[in-house]
Amino acid sequence: MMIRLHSPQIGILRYSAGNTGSVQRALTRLGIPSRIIEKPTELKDVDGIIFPGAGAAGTAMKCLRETGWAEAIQSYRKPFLGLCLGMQLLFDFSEEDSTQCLGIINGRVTELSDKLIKPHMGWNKLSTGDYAYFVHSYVCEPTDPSVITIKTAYGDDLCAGVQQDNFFGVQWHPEKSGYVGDQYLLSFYELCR
Amino acid sequence: MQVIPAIDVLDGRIVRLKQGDFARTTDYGDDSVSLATKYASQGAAMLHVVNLTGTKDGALQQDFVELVRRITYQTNLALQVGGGIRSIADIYALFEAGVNRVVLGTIIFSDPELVRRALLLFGPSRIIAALDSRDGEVCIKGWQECSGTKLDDAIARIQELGFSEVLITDIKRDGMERGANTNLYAQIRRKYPSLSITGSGGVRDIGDIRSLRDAGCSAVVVGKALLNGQVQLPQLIRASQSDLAIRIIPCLDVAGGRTVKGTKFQNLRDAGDPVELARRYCEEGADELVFLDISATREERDTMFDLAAKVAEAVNIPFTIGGGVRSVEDALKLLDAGADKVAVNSAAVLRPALLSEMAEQFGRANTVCAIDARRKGKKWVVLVKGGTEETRMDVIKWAQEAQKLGAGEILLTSFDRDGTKEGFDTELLSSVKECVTVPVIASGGAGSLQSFVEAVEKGKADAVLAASVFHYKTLQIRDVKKAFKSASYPVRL
Repeated sequence: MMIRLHSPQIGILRYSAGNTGSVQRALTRLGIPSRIIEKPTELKDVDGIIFPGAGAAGTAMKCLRETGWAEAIQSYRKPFLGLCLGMQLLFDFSEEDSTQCLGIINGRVTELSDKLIKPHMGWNKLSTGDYAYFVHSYVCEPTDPSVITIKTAYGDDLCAGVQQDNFFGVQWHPEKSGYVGDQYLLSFYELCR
Repeated sequence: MQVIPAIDVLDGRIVRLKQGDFARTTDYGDDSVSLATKYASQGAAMLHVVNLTGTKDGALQQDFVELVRRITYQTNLALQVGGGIRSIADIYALFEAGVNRVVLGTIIFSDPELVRRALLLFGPSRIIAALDSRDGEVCIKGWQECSGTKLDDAIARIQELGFSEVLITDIKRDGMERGANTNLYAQIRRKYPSLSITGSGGVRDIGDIRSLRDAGCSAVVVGKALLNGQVQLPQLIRASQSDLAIRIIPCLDVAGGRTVKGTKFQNLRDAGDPVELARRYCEEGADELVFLDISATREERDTMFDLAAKVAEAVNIPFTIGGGVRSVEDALKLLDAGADKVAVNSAAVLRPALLSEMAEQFGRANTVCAIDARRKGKKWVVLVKGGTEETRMDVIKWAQEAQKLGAGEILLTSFDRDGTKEGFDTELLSSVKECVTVPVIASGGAGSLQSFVEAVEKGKADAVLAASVFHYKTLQIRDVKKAFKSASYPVRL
């Protein structure tokens, strides 16, 4: 008989104030064990990471570099989920503050067209047919389109989700996207088991 | 999908034909340049100009070329022009007048070799095919003659000639405002996936735009519906770009941990436990929630942090907390507790830098500027301190300033309408909306189902907020969404 020594736990990466609250509450609501982790040394205690971005790319990357998180994320091999800015930072470069990002997924992050209402805010339809909640002004443009898992239409078709190896990212907010978001987070948790 | 407004010109006048019949024309004056300028200011990038005289007579007149030149000189619109083009010299003349792309129809059948040469000379991005179909058969010469060619065969033929884009008009629908022939476009799209299709004929509302987008059209030409003013270009463009849903937002005013509601910010009544209400609204299909703290004392205000945490654990939709937020520290505490966005009102009026500090710290997307507006003559002034104090600030100027400083959204409340159920102040909304690019939430005056739709249709709001009608179950969120759906707006059902 197999005995599980601990139930898997998700780490929520906190790199500055204000970015973790709503994800943490969502995981609690879904009964997913989680803890806030502030230092890369705490990575050994968790089975996967959710990285909720907040603020601007420049400030966020600066924080990640100063705290040693940048290297820790680049060499992470367990399931990693970046949300919104958290997904954008996985790319090479962001036009927001002209920021060199983590360079895990090849491609650029560009600003939405001035012809659109910005930020792209609210519930938009995913290529899966479901509605999900978006709040962003920048959008990922992977060099290799095959890493795109989900799209949404806002002006053009935008990249709404990516996957490359253990790195997952969504431009929308699963922690705020009703039943669809709940299912997404539960699937990610399954992946961490 | 691109929305391309159309101007049809007959002997220098703007006209519309019914089903291509020169005996059934409606005249819209002779000022094509003004009309083009208006479409450009409403967000059009391209204009479709049809030379009806040329179509009828089979020749390109110098007068028409000069008209086109005036439009290209006086607007920044790209022009797509067709009608009566019969030679390479005609095409040169139009390009020389500043035209971006020419549309070839009749000569595809009468002189295919010339068409092939034009495509080689100018490339398929500057020469597009136009096929006008009546019951599956292609009509030519301004629809006065049938070519005897089936639409399907004609499409195969234009592809063979080297076209990559085709404008397909369903004559039976054109000028009839009965809706576009979506099935036709979807069929062609499936059969010829490499061809870009522009739909044309019969487009009357945003529902048609949406179904043409779903059918896979890359552009749509709209004529009569815009000329008649039955639909506005910005709405069509919006619908062509996305299915972004109109958000329905119940608003909970909270004092000392209880939901309350008054009229014009006075005579507060108890409306229940905020967490329970939040849960109920979430189940009923609310897209977002707003909590406004209207507590009088600091002690009461501290209960908001606790409330944010409880709500975040109770619902799976985003919510904004506002009221009493004075500093970035207050805002961060709310976000850490689980709020998604923080709204500031009086504090930002007193110290506008607060908006930039918030945007810098946690992003403009999470920074909401709430504005309470009171009508004063033809303008609106900003109110502070829960509507009790009037400032000298102009609402529109403040909204622009707030956007510039870092607000990612504006929650715009009409003090005059608040709690009256008389409908939203659509003039206030559209005036602000015209001057900002961030989303605007309509607030104050929610009454009938129609009033919600008007906030979006006339007020151009991106989201609609209401309190009493939801708290006291006068309206169900689902019914509001159905009303939007019947008006062809996308909603999350």
